[in-house]
Amino acid sequence: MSRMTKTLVVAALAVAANGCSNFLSGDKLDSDPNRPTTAQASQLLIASQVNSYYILNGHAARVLAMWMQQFAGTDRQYRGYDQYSITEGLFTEYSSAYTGGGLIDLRTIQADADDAGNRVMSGIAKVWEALVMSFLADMYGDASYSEAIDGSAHPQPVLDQQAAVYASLQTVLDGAIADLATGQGSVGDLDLSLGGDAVAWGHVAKTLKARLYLHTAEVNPTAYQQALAQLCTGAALSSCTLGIQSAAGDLNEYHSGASGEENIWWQFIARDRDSYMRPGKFLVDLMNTRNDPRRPEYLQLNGNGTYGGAAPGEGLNTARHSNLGLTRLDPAYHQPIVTYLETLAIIAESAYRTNNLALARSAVDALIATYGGTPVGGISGTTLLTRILEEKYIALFQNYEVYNDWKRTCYPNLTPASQAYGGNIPARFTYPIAERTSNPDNIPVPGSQPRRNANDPVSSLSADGTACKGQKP
Amino acid sequence: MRHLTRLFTVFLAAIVAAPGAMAQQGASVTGKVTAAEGGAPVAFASVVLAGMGLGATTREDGVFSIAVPAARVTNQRVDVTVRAIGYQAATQQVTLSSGTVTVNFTLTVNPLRLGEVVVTGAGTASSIERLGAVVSTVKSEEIVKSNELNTVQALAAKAPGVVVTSSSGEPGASSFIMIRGQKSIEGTSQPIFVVDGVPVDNSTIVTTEPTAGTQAMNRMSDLNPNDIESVEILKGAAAAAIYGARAGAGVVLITTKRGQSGAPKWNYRVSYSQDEVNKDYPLQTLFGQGSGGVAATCGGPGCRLTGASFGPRLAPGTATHNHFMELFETGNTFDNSLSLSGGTDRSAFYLSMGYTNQDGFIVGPNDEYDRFTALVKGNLELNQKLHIGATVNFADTHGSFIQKGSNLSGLLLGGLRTSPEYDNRTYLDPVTGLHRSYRYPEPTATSQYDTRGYDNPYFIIYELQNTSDVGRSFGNINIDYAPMNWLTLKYTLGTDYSSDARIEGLPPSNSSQPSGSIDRANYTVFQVDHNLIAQATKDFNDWTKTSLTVGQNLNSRKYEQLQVRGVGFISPDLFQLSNTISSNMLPLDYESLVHLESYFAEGKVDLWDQLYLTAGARNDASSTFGKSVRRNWFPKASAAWEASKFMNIRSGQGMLSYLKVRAAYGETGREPTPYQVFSGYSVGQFGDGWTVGLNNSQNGSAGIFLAAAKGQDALKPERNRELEFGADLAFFDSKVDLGLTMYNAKSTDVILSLPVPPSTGYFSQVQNAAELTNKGFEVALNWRALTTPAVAWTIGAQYAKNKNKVTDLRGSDQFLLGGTFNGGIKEGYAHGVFIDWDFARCRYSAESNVVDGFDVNAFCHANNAPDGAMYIGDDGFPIFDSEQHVVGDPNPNWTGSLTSSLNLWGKLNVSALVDYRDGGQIFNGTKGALLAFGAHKTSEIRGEERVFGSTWLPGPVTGPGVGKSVVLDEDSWFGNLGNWFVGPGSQFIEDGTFLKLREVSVQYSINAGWVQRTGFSSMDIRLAGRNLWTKSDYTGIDPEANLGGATSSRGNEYFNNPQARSIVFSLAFNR
Repeated sequence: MSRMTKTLVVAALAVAANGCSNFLSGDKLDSDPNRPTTAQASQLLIASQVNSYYILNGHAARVLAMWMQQFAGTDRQYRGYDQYSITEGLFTEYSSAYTGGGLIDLRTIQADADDAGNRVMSGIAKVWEALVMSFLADMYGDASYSEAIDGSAHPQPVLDQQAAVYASLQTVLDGAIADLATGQGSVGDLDLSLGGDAVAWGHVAKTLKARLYLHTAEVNPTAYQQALAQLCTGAALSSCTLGIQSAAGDLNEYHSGASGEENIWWQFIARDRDSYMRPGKFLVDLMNTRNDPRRPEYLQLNGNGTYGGAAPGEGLNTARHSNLGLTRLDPAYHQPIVTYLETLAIIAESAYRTNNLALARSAVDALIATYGGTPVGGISGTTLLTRILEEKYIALFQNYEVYNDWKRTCYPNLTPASQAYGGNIPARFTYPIAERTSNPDNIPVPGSQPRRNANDPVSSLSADGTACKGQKP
Repeated sequence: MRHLTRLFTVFLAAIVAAPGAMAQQGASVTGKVTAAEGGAPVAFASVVLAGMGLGATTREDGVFSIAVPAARVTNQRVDVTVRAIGYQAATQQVTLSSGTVTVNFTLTVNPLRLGEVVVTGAGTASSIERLGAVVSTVKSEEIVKSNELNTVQALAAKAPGVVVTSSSGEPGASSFIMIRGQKSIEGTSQPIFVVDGVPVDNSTIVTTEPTAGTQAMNRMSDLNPNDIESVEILKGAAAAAIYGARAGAGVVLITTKRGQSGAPKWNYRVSYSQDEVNKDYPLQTLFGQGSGGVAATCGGPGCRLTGASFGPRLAPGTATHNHFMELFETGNTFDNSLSLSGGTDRSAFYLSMGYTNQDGFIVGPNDEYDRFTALVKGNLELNQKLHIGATVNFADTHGSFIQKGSNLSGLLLGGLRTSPEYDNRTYLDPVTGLHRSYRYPEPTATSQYDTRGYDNPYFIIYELQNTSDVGRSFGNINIDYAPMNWLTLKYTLGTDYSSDARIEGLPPSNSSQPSGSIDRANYTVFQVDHNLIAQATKDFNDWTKTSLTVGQNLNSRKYEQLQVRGVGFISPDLFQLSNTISSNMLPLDYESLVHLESYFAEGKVDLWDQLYLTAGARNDASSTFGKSVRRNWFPKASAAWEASKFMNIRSGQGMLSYLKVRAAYGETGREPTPYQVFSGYSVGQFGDGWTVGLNNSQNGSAGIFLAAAKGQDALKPERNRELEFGADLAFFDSKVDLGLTMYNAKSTDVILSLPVPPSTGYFSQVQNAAELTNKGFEVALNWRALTTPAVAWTIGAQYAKNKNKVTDLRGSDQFLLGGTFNGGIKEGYAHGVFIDWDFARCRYSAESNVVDGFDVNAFCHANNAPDGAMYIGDDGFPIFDSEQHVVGDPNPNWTGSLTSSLNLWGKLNVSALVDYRDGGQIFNGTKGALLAFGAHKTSEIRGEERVFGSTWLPGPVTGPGVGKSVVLDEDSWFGNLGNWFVGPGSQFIEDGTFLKLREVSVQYSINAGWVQRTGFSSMDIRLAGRNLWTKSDYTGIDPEANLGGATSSRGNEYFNNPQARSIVFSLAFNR
């Protein structure tokens, strides 16, 4: 106190004597004592991973899991979201993909890592870029990319067409694969998922490339071929050595039981919003019918001692509704993002679509073997295709990729949860208010935005040949 | 606190035992000052012996006594002059001789207070008739009569255009004050407070977040209202411009009581009040817990039940509980205040101590407020030219609060949602001793760290710990030096320091953070203010008198927040950070420093004693301004003309007894908050709004990310330009007086975190972007209806209308304010309008009105439906519009108050104050939520048929389903679009018009012999009521409540803790 008073008195005298002053400058006046002004690539990389978790496995993933009827909203707002009562305020992933922890920081990491010759770090940052930007292309369609994060040159970035974004991301991933292949530099524990394993990241990049080709399959006749080419060099499963090779190579999130590190699904279901959502009736019934061995992992027993799911929009009933299984409802559960199981499912489907039924069967059998199921045997045709898609639907439980598959195949042929949205399951996300209102020349009002994305024309038929219930023209 | 209480007792005993008067050898001039009308004693009147530098103030009973040293008593004749606020000064001549000289005064009221001097800020003062801009004065007795413990709340309904809102009736809850409308968007719309010439802190710091957590005190509540002599409110920019960049929202100047020479006098006041919640809440009592008409049943320990009351109709005779009223009891407040003043011919002192203890109306002991205050003030005349003085205010304040609001551990959130048949009172399970709630009625023995869904309200009341312990000291030293009779130098050095230690602890099994969490925080606010002025006067001739003031002001403000959140209790009930798992601690520290360097000048010219001109300017430089715009000018000018003098009405008599017209223009500003000029990185958390979030650092590795806001190095202060015109009139021999003021204020360069497209990598950049206008009209009318010596009856009325409009947002669409769910800013609308979702309606003003692929406007045109008509779909229900709209406005149309004061025989006073607000909508979020659970009374009609537009949500409708009767039940309506979680917020906007009996009091003064024989000169007995009666159609908790407390967003209700009404009994002993 006395020091400050003295300072003030001295300053007053000085100001009075000199007429000019340095009263307005000094420590804590010329700079913000509360914020760093510089950041290292290593620090940005940690925060970028956390930001990506919220984009890929946060609110959007939960709502998509409800639309895909793997879950149901059982309380308050989530009952509404489950029944497509949605607004342009609902999904903000578009914003967080670009801002702090998003593209702007991922590019800084790449630039700094390139300067330092740390190509492994640059490669890993490029894969994260491809993940978050492809999420935008998947959900919103057209997205700012070529003009993004350059406010001085492009204060109002234009939207790039979805196809252009996907094409750019294939190039980014090629660059990542090239960086990673050099093995130059290291990341170590800063890579929370794979401990800086450049080879494993190379495999993740390949699977991701294949996934993105799949997303264009409805409008690109060679997509399945291209997807398969990312993962396999020959006709047999043994030649499929390019993508993720085992569960150990999965790209999973890092979580722990420490406060502020817990799995987001656990935070939502177990701690913060305990009554809002429960596993969905469609999925649970399906797993019951299959007598699926993964039920104890995915589900808890309900109050009646059985496995039961909630129908869309149904209020919570703990006697009938199972909760998420304790394996996954664990604060330290490492939520999967891109996996070996997905790799196998992509191989299986792409092989089927390109008429390599043997590879399709061996890939889906490899997937089934991971949970101890029975091989598919000699099935073919629609039976084989729907089996592959069903295996993927269950294996990718909680993963937003299920929604991308459904938009493409309409399988499982889900019955929409309500008549809102024209009796369809919503086909894309509305741009967030923050972007629309600050970039009005490029982002149309919700009523003028497209109902479906360019890669996703209406599938009038489901993969099983029946009329698609959730995608009407 | 306890040792302070003891100190207080000792002090009290010492005073009572002290001898009655000081040295008595010389002369003693004594007397009594009473009002000519009604005969009431005039307290705090200043009595001076002209030319001798001696004086005194009157006691509560109007009696004064001035001791004159023997050496100065020469049988000379001296003038004794009495001045009191609101009365005409009076002078009588007496002959000074040894012994007691008695002189009594009967003062005539001075309706427009002409000739009285008021402080006008930064060391300046002016007589009232010279003011070109309106200054509202609130007198000591009005403050005392309000019975408010919080100085800010005591200003409610005291001056037109000054709106005060209490955030809750809980002990220590903050009050929000706003003058002439909102002028800022991100900054506070509250005025700065200046006590005895020194700016002081009135911040309200919430420990966690404004929409949850607990109440917080506003720091001006540290000032004991009993110590206030007068309050001057500088409302417009012309009046406040002398404070430049800090005065954009107006200035409240508080002058504390000062001692006068003379025999010591003392006053002791004790009040006791009973406080209770002011109204019940409508809850449903017919249906039990469950959903779909099926009861929720518990299969055994550990069962989790639905939170809804959509179960079956309760069997006749089932016991139900009033889950609102059962949480409240009668609260008690004791307020003690003791003051002592006196002095010699060259020195004077004032000493006061206050002790307040309040146990609030929530059951249990954990809502309480304790305040100890002390004020010491001394003045010394070193010689005729040099006067020095010093003041020290001290406050030791303790508050304990109950969690509220949008918060799983908020009192009413779980409390009101509880199904009617569930008994919350047994909040600990008899078997396990653990926390039970209606959603988790049978805790298992291992559920210590599990959520209860919502906390049992009694658990919240008894087991949580939320405290604030404040030490505060503020004061000043001042020197007045008059080297020549035309020149005065005034120097004031003031400081204000407060330290607030907080605990916000939620023990394990709470639903917000089931493993237990504790926030420990210390907030330090420190301000030093240096103010030096020189004043020169010169009379050029009889009719040209001038004065010039120049000044320098340096101000330094420092804020430090040391806050740590620990999560995961080790032992279940120890509220210490060391009792949490160490790796789970989250620091939330922050500091800021602001320096302001200013120069100002003010010149005045009085012409012909009737035309008064003032002009001035202040130049401010602040460390918060961008470097390229460091200095900013704030000019002002005003003119006042006593036209009645020109018309030769000088006596205050006649049909038109007085007329003054005035005009003023001024500019004020608001500084940016610190550090907005810099860009940087953030070390905050990530989240999605639904979960607590993930740390930026993980697995022991540090993480940081680019901050959302881009710096702005050309940031200027916000600027408020205001022009005001007015007139002060008196009629009918001054029996009626009237003040009229109209103003037109334009706020430019209003700082806005202007959103930039997130695709540029940032969310926002602050800009001097917005413009707002406030246009208003204020009326103050007083009528002295009865003016006999025995009876005086005064009736006062106030009216204020303010129209606020956001005129420019630099092309941006809309913003949501902090501390609210839906209060926002939109161009063309008033500040704080509710921006929320709505049902699809005909909106002819909208460019496009396509909902869910359906062109609503095209349909409306085709069917000639009126604008605003709600679209009813085939099924008879409205449909949800996924675009946000402005759906309500919390700003009142106008506010007014009516006062009546009756004085009888100088002994009895009966007074009342009625407060009215016309309009001002409230967002009833509590109802919006309770309907979702079937807990609100309105949901009792479940299963019945209604028709939208007529028997449900009445209003114009269109669409294929118009007139269709539909069944409203859980699935079709209440659990769906009929509540706020799923459906639009627009259906919960209600009118907040209210009429409140704010104050009513009866006071009787006794100075009979039996009182005097006890050693007192007089005793006052008072019975008063506060907020006794409210008339409002608002169906929620209270139309005055605001969830965010002292935030600039208004009119949000969401499980706020309620308001109180009180009965107060007080006794004052004077000597």
